[in-house]
Amino acid sequence: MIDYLVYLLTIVGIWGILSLSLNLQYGLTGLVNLGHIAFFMLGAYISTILVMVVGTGYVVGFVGGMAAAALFGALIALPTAHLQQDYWAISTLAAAEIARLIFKNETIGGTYQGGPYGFSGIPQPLKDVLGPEMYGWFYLGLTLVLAAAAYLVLQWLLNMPFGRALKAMREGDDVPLALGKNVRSLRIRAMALGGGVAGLAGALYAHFNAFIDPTYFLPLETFLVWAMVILGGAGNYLGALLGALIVQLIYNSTRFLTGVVPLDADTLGSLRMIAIGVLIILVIHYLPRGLVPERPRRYAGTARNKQAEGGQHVRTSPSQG
Amino acid sequence: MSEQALLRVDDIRKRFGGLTALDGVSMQVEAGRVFGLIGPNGSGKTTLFNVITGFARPDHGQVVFDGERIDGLSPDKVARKGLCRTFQASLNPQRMTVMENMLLAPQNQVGETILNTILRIGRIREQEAEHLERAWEIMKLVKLDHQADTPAGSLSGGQKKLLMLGQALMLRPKLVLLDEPVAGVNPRLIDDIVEVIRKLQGQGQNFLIIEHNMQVVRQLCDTIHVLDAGKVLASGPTAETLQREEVLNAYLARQAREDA
Repeated sequence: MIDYLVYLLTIVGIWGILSLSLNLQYGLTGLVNLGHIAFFMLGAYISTILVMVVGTGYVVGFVGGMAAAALFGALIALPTAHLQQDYWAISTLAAAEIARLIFKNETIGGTYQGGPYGFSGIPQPLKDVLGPEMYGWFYLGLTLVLAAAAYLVLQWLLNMPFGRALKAMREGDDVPLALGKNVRSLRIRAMALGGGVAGLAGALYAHFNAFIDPTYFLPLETFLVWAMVILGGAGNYLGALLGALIVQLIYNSTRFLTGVVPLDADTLGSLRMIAIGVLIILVIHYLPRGLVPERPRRYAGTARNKQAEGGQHVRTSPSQG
Repeated sequence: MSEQALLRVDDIRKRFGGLTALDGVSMQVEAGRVFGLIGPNGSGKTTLFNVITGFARPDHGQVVFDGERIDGLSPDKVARKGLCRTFQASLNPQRMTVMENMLLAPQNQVGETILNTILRIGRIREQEAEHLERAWEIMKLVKLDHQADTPAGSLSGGQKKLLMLGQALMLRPKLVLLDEPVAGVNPRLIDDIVEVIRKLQGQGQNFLIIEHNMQVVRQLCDTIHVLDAGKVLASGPTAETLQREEVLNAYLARQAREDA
């Protein structure tokens, strides 16, 4: 039971990172990216290939996976930057499927490796030293540390002028353009940054699961990430994490419920997708901004402080030099 | 040309399919005066604004701003040259607060680059403090200082216009193009907007204003250009030009056609 909880929390952490990165792209920047799983896949595949086939260390594998995903993000943003939102969304879906089919059709590093076989026996860091049980805890710790790091970095950027400029594009390009913002460049950066973060999740997943194949990265997975962001509250990173927790709990609930509910595992397996769907409808209807709505930064206090300070002659006035 | 024009538009033509929106428009806007751009609906005023600010590419002709050709530049580049526009309808990010909208506007924000948010955090804090102070000043001027944390979407129509004006000012532009700053605004707020623009004018801010409200045009503009059917019909001092027969005819003819 504990083992399973450790497993579940690790999965929540990995998908939490994925959900954070989609929140950057959709929740803040308004990019309807329907190919998000491609970043996850690139992170997983490139890290696996680097560590397993090329023989680099894990750090190089992870960084390589992130870089490849970031590059892919920038690449799909480049030729599509001028498209309107709906066309853009379809193009991301297509790009993700193209990338997946390339991996499905390319055998890499051996006869029964890559391509439709996927990769099995992906190396796991420190597993020999720690033993299977300790390894689970170790990997949970690693995942949570990296998820926390991703959260802090993204939250930091949100509070910077960069985050503000991204939010300005969410409701159309005209105003940011009229204010001199290079929206094309900002969009590319949002795609690359979100891609890189999602690539990290992918690399984590590959070395955790020790097996990946192209069926792990179907478009359906992208919609799970969307469910997380919409449930949690688009525009709020904590919401994205909460959404990941809820969706993964429902998604993995079959293991708990098979003994309790008089339904077979197959039925339950289908029911969980229905449950996620119903939950999304309820949230959109009753809490359209999600469980944890976006919270804009408050500035009213900055004026009051100024007045108070002014009264006490703290504020530097021209006469004080 | 005795004085160097701040903005010069030369023989601009723009067609949309079979429709000729601008049919050889030439005009000048000099610094130190408020210019009005008037004309009946569909005469091409907003299209001209779009061409000047890079939102539309002219088929022919050139736009020279501050001694530099700017036609063909993208809108963000035009804005960075110091030419800022507002929109007829409020397009401001509704889910961002008034203050966030204001802080969005300044140019050369160091913190808009990812790497700088780590490397130059000190400079970013400095800039943010400067911009915040300036934003409070401007918000006081445009009477939005009590709404700092209000989402832009919750403002009234008139306040949205004031927000756009305030944002434009945050850029410290050499010239502001206002597209119908008082259209759809309640009369009391119209007085406020006029007062704000006059105050800014007194401080040396240059304006080119599209407006249908003739009372406001008379109050604000020193010089007007009258556009009709994609051509400049008349130019000159406001009161005098508004009395000219062809101008009256353009408006009356249009009015008569609409009434019929």
